[in-house]
Amino acid sequence: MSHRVVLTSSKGGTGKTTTALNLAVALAERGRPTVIVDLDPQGAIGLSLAQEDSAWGGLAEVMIAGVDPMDMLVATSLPTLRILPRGRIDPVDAWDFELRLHRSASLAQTLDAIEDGVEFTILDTPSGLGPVTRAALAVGHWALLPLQAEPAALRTLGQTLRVIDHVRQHENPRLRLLGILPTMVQLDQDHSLNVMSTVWAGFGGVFDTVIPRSDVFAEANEIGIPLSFFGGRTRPEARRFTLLSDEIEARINTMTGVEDDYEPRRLV
Amino acid sequence: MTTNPAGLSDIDAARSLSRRLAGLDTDAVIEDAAPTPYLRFAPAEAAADAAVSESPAETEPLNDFNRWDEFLAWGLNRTRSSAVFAIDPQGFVIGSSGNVPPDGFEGAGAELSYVMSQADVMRTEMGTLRAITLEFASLHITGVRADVEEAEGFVLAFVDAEALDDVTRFQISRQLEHSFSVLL
Repeated sequence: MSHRVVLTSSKGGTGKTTTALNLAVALAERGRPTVIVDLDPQGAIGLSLAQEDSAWGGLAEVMIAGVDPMDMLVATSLPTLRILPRGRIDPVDAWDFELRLHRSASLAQTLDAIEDGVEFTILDTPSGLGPVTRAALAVGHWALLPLQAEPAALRTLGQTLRVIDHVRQHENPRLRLLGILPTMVQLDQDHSLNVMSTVWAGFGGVFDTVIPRSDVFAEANEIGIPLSFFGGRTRPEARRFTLLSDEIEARINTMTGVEDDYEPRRLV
Repeated sequence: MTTNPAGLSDIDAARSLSRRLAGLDTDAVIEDAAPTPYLRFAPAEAAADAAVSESPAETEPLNDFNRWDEFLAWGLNRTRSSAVFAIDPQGFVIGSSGNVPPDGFEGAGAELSYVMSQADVMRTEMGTLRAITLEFASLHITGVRADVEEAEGFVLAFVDAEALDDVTRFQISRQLEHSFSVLL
């Protein structure tokens, strides 16, 4: 069964889509069959990959026209990575799209239909704690919270955690907190360092990996590629997502009781 | 540098929640028992605001469940109800999920079972009783049965501000018929 990882944050601009995309690429490059599902009514994944807003069919076609979800998957140059885009939903109907995702069983059925042989399903949600976020958490297994290392983001962290806790108690007992991922970290700035000090001092589930603030994200966005696709020397920021994917796999193994022990060895 | 740059109790609450969700403080107070500074919409308002009609032609694949708790979790998610409980032919609640009140649904389960058994007396050419909806001032209880002989007397009851619509009731009944022999 695929691990469904829901990227969620009540605050906008914390790096959900950037994390979803680059994490999915990192997992796929480790050989883990992965699907990104774009649940953002704005189609953030497609926009990040420099696609026209109506370029790709996707979830909207599944929900509105009854198209087979498998036919909507977009292949990538990585054989282990596919994308289920948002689809050609009229922006005027974004509100209806969100409510239907929440009130119907479409999302669960769609995920079930596309996850054969998939190890990770990365669900990218819009900012806020509205119906799409709730629908994703209701069918997800793991919640991953990107936390922008700035005071305003820290102040909203409790809102997201409260919703996760509520969904876990009342709707989806399988949902667990995978972790809090500090993003846009600038340890040379007092405000960012203060936030990190607070998070490191007693918060649960904080990843060891942090994502630094860097212009390279905007450069990648400009040409519509993940960080590891620049060519030339590997960007250090791309390596962060490799580390994150490793940490996530280890954490899931630990939390689900999967043994990854190995026999003692001798070097010489 | 401070250890709490926002200087807010929100951050202390977030810290506690994160530790509990990460499995570090498993004995922390659960949400519903703890006082919160938040206001909540009445369920009826929220449900009315969010209501979206389903297509009557919608047909869904059937799931294979091995346990009642799996079935109830699916039913809760499928209907977006506040709570669901299952009643056996003797009127005993054999499982529940969702926003279950502290004293459970034992009383409601027994009464609902009795009400449906009384309605069974009306059996005529109309066929067997499939479902019943009780409308109270602040919520509805919708009882759904499976139309198979071995499931006679078993009821799934959904508690919510809104009654279940026809399509949802039909799907619940189909799923119950499909799963019942395994769950029994």
